Amino acid sequence: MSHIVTESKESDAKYRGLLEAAPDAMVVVNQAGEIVLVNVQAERQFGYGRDELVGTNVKNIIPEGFAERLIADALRSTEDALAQQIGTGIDLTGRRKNGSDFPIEIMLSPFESAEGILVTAAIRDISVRKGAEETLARLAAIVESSNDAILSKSLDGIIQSWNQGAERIYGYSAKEAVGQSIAILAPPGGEDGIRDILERIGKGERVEYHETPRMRKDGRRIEVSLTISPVKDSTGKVVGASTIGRDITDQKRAEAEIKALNNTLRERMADVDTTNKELEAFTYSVSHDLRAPLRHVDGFSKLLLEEHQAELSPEAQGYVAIIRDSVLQMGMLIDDLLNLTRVGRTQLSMQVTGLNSLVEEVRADLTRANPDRMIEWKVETLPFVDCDPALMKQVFVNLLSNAVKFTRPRKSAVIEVGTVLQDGHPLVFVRDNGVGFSMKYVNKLFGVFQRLHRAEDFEGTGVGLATVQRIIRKHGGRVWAEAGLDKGATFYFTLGSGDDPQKEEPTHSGGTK
Amino acid sequence: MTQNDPQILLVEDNAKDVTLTLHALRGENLGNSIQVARDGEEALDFLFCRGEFAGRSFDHPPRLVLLDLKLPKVDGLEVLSAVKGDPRTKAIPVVILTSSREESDLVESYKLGVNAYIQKPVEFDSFRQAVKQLGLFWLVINQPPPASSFRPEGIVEP
Repeated sequence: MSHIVTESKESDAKYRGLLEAAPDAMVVVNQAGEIVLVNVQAERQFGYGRDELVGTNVKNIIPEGFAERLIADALRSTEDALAQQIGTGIDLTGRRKNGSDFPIEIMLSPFESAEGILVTAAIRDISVRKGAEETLARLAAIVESSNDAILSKSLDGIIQSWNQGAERIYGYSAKEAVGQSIAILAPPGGEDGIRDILERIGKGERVEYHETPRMRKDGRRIEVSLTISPVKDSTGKVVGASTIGRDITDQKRAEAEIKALNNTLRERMADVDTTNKELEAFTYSVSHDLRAPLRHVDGFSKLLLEEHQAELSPEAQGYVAIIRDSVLQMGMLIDDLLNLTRVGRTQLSMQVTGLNSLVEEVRADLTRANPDRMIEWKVETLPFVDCDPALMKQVFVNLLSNAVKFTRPRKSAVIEVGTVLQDGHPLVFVRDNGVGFSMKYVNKLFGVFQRLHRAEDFEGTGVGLATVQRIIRKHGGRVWAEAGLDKGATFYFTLGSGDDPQKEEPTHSGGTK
Repeated sequence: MTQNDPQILLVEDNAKDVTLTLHALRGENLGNSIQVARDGEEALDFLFCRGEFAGRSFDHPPRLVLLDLKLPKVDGLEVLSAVKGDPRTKAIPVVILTSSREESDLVESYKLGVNAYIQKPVEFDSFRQAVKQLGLFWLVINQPPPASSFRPEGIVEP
């Protein structure tokens, strides 16, 4: 079947020209729903050739809602049915030849023709508009669900939109807030700030992370961080402001707490500083005040022996000798203690130091001080390390003089200094073949005033190894010992680098247990 | 220099230390011409010829000042600073003789221009030895500063 407009060739051509000039797809149908005419846009939109469309039912391309509207039924006349459609934009769904659907909006206009009433449908593909609407809806949902308060206001401060975040943060519902002045959020005296912001926005400026107090509906004061941007109309004129506000009350409180804690910490540090200064003053006074009376005891007992010897019995002279011996002992004790405390309050002055040169200096001093001793020294090549050379020398002085002291009963003393690798880190060791000690007492070895030998056998103050430990720990290293009774002793130490000073020391280590 | 002008000024507040020091110096016949000042103020009065010592002259300075650090009223470092800071006394040799071996004391003393720094040994023999050697060195071996070293104009004139 073919129905064509046949009134005249001329009018047909005119009508066709009009159809083709239209920007939308145009489809002309008769009252039975058959397509009688289409334009190029219609072919393009639906993916059919013209011949495939003309003569077919319009339901093929618009499955629902169109054909039904054309038909008169028992309740309405044809005229009525058509009159309802005129000029109305109807949202329907179009179907392409390939079966895919797309949203359309159609406008219908009926007209009388020789073949009866025909209806022209102008069909617009509204997928783009629909997409934009969806995007808008999605954005609106995001705004709505945001935890931050998102609101807009006019330049005179009248609230225009208000999301759930704003409701949660400020306590006003959208209904309560929209139409009100933004000044309802100002805490007493804070209105000027709000006016200033609106003035800046009016000049097109943007305000970022502005931290300010606000007042909730319930009167509670909160701290917010606001970012406010100008909203412009299509001509670029600023017409309002959009505000994103975040409640930072908790954050502010946490910051204040941290600040308070820091202040407390600073005060404590100052206390520690004071305590250290007091300790310094104390050691100073120990060095000065305790040594003076000792000097006097020694000086006058010496003068007693020299100038009044005739008046003293041999026994009395022996007692005076004991007094002088004790004085010397106490003098050493004070010196050692001062050394120990000096380590504690000395700042490390690090430099790369060859341990061999330190050991050599100490060995030379010890050899000079013990000319009658036969000592075989075995000193390996030692590493260069980053350390405080003065303190590191003290370590070797204490360890090597111990080695010399405790090998005294040996006819041929052997003292070794060397390195071994343990877990990839170099250890330095000092080994002797002296009297050693029982490992039972190893935990006392590094304690201040702790001695494992009787003073009659081996003199000493019990401070030397405590000093060694303090120096090594200050360098971030650790020190421990292995020994056997009458089987010599070996002292090991590490220095900082790669070693965790907090690390649990091996079971035979000394230290504070 | 007259016979009566002391050659050594011993600045020492502790009577026992004074006794021991004098004892050591007497052993070398250096004890006859010693002035003892018992605090920093007295030492400055002597050195700057004022107060009790107003009759003294800057022309007859001691050949050696033995100076303790911890002193009543004016401490040793202040005395040292005053002596070394004044052209009339600057050339007088000053030796610190103290119990302290605090690094800060050493640093400060040398910065102020001390001529030597001795820590008093606890052992009397060592102490006596140190004092004797000091006395011998500064009074016998060392060439004392000439009189012109004590005149302020001597410093500015070439």
